[in-house]
Amino acid sequence: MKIINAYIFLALLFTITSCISNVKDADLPSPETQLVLTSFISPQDEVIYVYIGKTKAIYGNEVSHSNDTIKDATIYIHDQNDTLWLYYYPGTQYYKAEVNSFKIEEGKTYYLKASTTDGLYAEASCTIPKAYDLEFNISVDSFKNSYNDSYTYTLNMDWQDPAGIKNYYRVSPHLVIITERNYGYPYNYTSSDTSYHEFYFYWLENYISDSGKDGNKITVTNGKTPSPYNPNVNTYSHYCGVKVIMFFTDENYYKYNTSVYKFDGENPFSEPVLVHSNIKNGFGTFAGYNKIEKLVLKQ
Amino acid sequence: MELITATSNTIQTQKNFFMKTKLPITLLVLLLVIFSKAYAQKTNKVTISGYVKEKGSGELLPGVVIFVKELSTGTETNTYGFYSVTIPKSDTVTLLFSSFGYTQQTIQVSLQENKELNIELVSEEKMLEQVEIVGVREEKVSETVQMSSVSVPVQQIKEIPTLLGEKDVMKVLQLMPGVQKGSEGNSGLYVRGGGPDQNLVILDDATLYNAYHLFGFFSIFNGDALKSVELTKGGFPAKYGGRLSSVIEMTMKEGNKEKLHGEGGIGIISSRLTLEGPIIKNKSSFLVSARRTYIDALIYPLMPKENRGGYNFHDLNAKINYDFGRKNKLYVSTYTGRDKMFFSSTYDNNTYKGGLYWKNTTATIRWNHLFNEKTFSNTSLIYSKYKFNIFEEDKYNGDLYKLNYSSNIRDYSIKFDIDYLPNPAHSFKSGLLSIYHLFTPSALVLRDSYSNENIKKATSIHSLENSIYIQDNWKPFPRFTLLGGIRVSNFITDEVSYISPEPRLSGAYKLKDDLSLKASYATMNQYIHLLSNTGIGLPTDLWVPSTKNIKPQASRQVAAGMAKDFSSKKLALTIEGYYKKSDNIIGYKEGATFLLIDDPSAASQINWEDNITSGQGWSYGAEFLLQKKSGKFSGWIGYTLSWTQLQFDSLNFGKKFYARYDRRHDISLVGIYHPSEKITLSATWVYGTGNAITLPISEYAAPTHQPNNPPRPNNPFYIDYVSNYGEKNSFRMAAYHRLDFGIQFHKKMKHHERTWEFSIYNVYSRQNPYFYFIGYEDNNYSSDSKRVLQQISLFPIIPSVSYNFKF
Repeated sequence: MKIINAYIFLALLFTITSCISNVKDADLPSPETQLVLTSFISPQDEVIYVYIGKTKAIYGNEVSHSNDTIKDATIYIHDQNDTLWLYYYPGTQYYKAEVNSFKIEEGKTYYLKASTTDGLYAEASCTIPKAYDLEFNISVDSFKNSYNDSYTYTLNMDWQDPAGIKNYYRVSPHLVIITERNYGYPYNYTSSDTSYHEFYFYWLENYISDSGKDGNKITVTNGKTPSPYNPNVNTYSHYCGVKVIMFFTDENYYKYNTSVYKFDGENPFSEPVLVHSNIKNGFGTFAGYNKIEKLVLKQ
Repeated sequence: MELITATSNTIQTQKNFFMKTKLPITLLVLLLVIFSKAYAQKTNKVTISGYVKEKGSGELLPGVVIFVKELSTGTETNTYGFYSVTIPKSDTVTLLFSSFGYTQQTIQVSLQENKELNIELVSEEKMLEQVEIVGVREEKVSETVQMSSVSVPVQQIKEIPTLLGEKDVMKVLQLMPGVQKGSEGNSGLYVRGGGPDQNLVILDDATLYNAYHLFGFFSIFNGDALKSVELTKGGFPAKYGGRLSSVIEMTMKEGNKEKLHGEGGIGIISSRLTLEGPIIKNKSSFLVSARRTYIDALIYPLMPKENRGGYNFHDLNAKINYDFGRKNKLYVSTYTGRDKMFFSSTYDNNTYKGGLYWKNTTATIRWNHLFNEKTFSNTSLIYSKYKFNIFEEDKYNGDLYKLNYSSNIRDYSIKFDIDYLPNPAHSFKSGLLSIYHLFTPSALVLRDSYSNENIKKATSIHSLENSIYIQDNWKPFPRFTLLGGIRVSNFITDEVSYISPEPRLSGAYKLKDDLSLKASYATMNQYIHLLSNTGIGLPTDLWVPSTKNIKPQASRQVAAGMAKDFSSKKLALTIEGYYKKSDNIIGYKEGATFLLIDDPSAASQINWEDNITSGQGWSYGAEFLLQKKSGKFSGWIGYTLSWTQLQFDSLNFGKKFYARYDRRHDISLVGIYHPSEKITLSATWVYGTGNAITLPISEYAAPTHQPNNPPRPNNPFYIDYVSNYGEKNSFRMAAYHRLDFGIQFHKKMKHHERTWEFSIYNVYSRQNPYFYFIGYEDNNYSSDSKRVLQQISLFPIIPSVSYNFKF
């Protein structure tokens, strides 16, 4: 957008008189180093990962992001009865553990605790939300893109929000397409087969809160397949349904992921986003979710 | 594909609107009938009434105090120069007519029957030319019940030094206690903790939606065309409403009824010219005033042909009036002003041009009618429009891309006010206002021959804002005055209707002749909201109405204080404390942006309601003003101690935080000195606590859950880097202070008077912070560069010169 040039032109007029100077160190904030912990847990996961890092002061520090891996932290998750110890996952900034006998269960509260040898300590808790067997109303449409004869699929969907409880959703619908191929396309399939494709619908709002809509119909619109699907002249494709992966998340999952998503530190014209955290003495999140998966076939 | 979405205004809905307005009109008439009956008994009283004008120009003078010496009572002229005072029959009474900047006139009249008495006051400036002034009587702050209001003499606006010599009403108002500026050079007003969107700016009854040029560096008001400027920041009389924080009422001059008069000037930024004179002597006159910048015209020829750009603004004020006699007067006035920024480039037979403009237009027809010597009315028909427009056209290899994005608000209003002055103990005012707002928050026309895209999209919202009020200035005892009233306001859109009573009460008690205590309470509602960019005065502001989700903003304010006149020294002192609680105020959600210049076609998709959030605010503080309005040395000392805090559920984790323009201390010193008739010296010094802003203080990796991506064993989450800002607005910018100085040399020539003005802005070249950003040590960027916080200061010492003339 070249109109920005006009602004730059004006800004240049002011730069004739303006000047830049450094703010003295004494006037700058001096934050303490704190731990950063992030983990998402669900009854469906077999492995739990916990990210651990530290905050870094901005002023007086270099631009590159530090990769100060913390290898000797003590990290564990526990509930009322059991404790799951997590161990450093070599070559990464994660600690991990297979759940095995430690059960992550709907409705239960779990506690994450971490400490480091240099005296930093942080903790958090989360409760696994309930998963509901929802019915999805789905409508899929498609239009032909005039410039290359490809197709873009669009999606609108809705479901009934269970009333009387705060619900947070993360919805991931996928378009399911069957392609019958005559020759050469798609390249990774052998000749004369029928292939199965899934296309994730982008552009829709996939983090959803029922705030102000409790017990009502929740609607998600404007889902679009990412790159237009271009059926080769020698193939025959038809969409046969939508696979919906629905996460029922806790409030922290919703607030943390949406605030990181909205964070746009580079844009001086947008309101600063204060990233959500439920970590005591630190940043990041410890959040729970529960998952269902449904295939809604084309009628 | 052509997509046309337009919300049409159905005739039926409009009918409903006007049906609903019948009720207030009936109520108003009923109230007036009751009052007329109550005061219509035959008494031994007589009424003196008439108009007060300026001698030499016939300009009607508002705010002239009429004091009946023998009875120690009085009144003042209304906005249209009319007064009426009803007192017992008597052989003779002495009437004193006084107003700031005019010599007092004393008239003795015998009062046996109702009398019409029109007065002409001689301006102090004219008297200076002849004799030393004796007996100029100052308007006393201790005598009026109104508090929290400031009137700025237009002459002083012309004498105070300003940036690049551009005289600016708004910048003079910023020097008053309780009124703060936003950032360096910006004309926006922050009144008692409220934002610039909470100020009702009216010019000849018409609302102006964007009162600024050049991104807020200059205001649109041309001082040469103005007669009076009055700012009310609390204790609002019931006649005002529609905004939470202040009312800035400006009245244009009517035009000299006796002779042709001109005034103008040539400055560094712009030139201006005002002409006024009679059409029919003493019956009808005109005024035309224009201003335009010319930097674009000067630099345009010097630019390379393939890359040209520019910026300009202009203002045009015009007014005509016709005096049908004592009973009827008609005024027609208009204002139009536009800022335009443009850019064009040509390369390899491809051309690009683009830019943006924003434009205000107002028009007012006013009819003054005198029903009888005690009852005066004004009826106004008002039109106001604000529009901004972004356009670009790109011709590339035979293809054409054309985009036009605009946003506008249009108002059609009818306003009726009536003054009823039965006796000196009561002064009733009543009226109604009905505004039909037509909002077009976004309209997009896009044609792209390459992708064959053809979009035409417009969303319009219409609403009706009605209000009705009644107020009485009641003097139950000689030392006690009450100004009480109620305003009922109502806002109707297709989906929702709001109605709110707004009680108003002010009281003044005179402890001594020159000392009074005052207190006030006011409730205000604001039904339309401004969506703006973060702290930067770009014109891409959207005005939007209240909706089902976005409730009207409301405030309650109490103020108490004292007013003392030191008559012998011509000094006036006011000290006030205030507490204001605001509800449903608008805030922007974290991450929200209304910056449209990046991608206007995407902006048209944004649902503005999704980007805003409602919260509450608290403002409290104390203001001190010691003012000397006349004499060889005039000026004022203003000091404000204030706090402004906000709370929004969805901002700062729901915790209270300081508003960006929360300013603990604010000081203004203004001095104007006339050592001789030929020289005027002036200086101002301002100090303000730094703005509260949100700065990143540390950073960290913030992994997010990515269940749709294929599992990556070494990195199960996707890592973004984010900043920790601490609490919202927890960093204070450096304090702002600045000294300006000006000197004017006046000289009478054969046919005109000329003034050379030399001024210096920021005399000691203080580097005041305008904007902070993260930079790199030694301005070298590399991955191991150390980061530093840097500030941009806009204006160092800036001298300027201008030439002014009048005849």
